[in-house]
Amino acid sequence: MTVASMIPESIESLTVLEEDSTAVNRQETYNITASPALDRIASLENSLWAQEKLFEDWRVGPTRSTTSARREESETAINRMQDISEAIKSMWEALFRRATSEIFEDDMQGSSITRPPAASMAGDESDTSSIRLLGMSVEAVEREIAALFRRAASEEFEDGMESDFITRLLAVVRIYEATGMLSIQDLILGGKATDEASAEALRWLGDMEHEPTYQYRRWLLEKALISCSSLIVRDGANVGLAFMNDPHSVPVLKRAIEETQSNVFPKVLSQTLLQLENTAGCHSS
Amino acid sequence: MPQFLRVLQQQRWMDLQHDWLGEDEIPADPVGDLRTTDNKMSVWMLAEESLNLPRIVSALGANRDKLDKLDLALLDSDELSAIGIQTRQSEGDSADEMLNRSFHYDLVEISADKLVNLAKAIIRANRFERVQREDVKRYIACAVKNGWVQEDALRLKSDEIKKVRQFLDTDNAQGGTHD
Repeated sequence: MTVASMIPESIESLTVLEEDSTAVNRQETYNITASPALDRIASLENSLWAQEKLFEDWRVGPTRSTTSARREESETAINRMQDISEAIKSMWEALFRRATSEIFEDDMQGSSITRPPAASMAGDESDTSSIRLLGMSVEAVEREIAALFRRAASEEFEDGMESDFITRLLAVVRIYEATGMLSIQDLILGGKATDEASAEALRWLGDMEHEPTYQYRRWLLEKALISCSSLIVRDGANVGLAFMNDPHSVPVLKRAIEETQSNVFPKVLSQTLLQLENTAGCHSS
Repeated sequence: MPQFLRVLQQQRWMDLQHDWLGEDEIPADPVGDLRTTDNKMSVWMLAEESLNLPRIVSALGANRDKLDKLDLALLDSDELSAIGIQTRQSEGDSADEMLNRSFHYDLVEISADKLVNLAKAIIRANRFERVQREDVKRYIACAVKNGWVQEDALRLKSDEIKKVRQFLDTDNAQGGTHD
C-alpha cells in the first residue's frame, strides 16, 4: 500500500470540512449543530492518527526507498496531513466563533456585557447563568488566558498542592468552554507557555469534571502527549490522562511508549497504560 | 543496608540529555527539585523489604491539599555516605505519628556542592518510583481504616476527604479488602 492510496479518504473529508468551516466563518448559516460537527472533527482526527501511523510504518518499513518519486510521495503525504491538521483547527475556531457570536447576539437583545473581575471568574464556576454577563470577545479570552500562563511562569508548582494558576484556569474553561480551550491549546501546542505551566495545566485539565469540554480536553492531552517535544509537558499530559482514566486513550499511550527515547518516561507511561487497561477490563467484565 | 526515600517531582528528572551540558554535568532543574531548609533535607527510611512503603505513601499523600500522584526516589545509605552526606533521625511532620517517630530522617549539613552530588547520585541510582493517584487514595483509605492516620489528621481539602470516604464505603460494602 502506498501513502498516496491512504490519502483520498481524508482529503475527501477535508473538502467537506472546509465547506463547513467556510460557511461558519462567513456566519451565513449555523444550521449544523455543534454535536455533528464535533463528531466530524473526532472522525477526522481518528483518520489523521491512523494515517500518521500508517505513514510511519511505511517510512520505516522494508519497502522504504530513496528514489525521488518516493520522496515526493512522502512530502505530499506530510503536507496533506498538515493540511488536515490545520483544517481541524479551523473547524474548532469556527465553532467557537459561532458560540461567541451567539453570546453577543444575546447581548444585542438587551443583556449587558461586563468584563468580570478576576476574583469572580475564579469563584463563580458553577453559575452558568452568568455566561452572558461574562461575555468577552475571543481576543479578550485569549488575553486573559495568556496572562494566566505568563503569571504562572513565576509560580512554583508542587504535586498535590493547589495553585492560583490552576484555580483560575479551570474557572475560565468552565465559563468559556471551547473558546478557552482553544487558547490553551494554542499556548501549549504552540510552545508559547513555559513547560512547567503547560504540564500543570494538562494535569488538572485531565482532572476536571466538565462534560462540555471533555472530548476537547482528552484530545488536547493526547495531542500534547504525542507531539510536544518537552518531556515535562508530555508527562503532564500523561498524568492528565491517568486522572481522566478513559480507556479510549490506550492506543495513544501505546504509541507514545513505542516512540519515546527517554529512559525514565516509558515507565510512567506504562503505569498509566496499565491503569487504563485495567479500567477497560472492569468496564467490559 | 538502610534505604532512604525522598519525595520529588519525577518530571523534572526526565530530560537529562542536553547538547550544552559538559562532561559529568547535569541540568539545574533536578537540583532545584531538592529543596533544603537550614541545609537539611527530609527523607524517610524504608523498613526491611519496603514493608512500610504503603504507610509512608499514605502519610505523605494525606499531607497535601489534593489527592495526587506521588513521585519518589530511593537511595541506599552507602550511596549517601559516598558523597559525604550524613543522616540524622528527627521527628517527621506527616499525618502518621508512628512514622514520624520511627522512620523520619534528615540529610544534614548539605552544602551546595553536596546537593549537586546528591542529584547526580539519584540520577545514577535511577530508582524512581511513581505511585498513581488512585493508589495514593487507596493507601490513605487503608491508613485511616487501620488507624495509622486519624481522619481529622488528614490535611486534604474536604472534597478530597470525601473521595477517600467514598472509597472506604465502597471497600466496606465489598467486604473490606484493604486491611
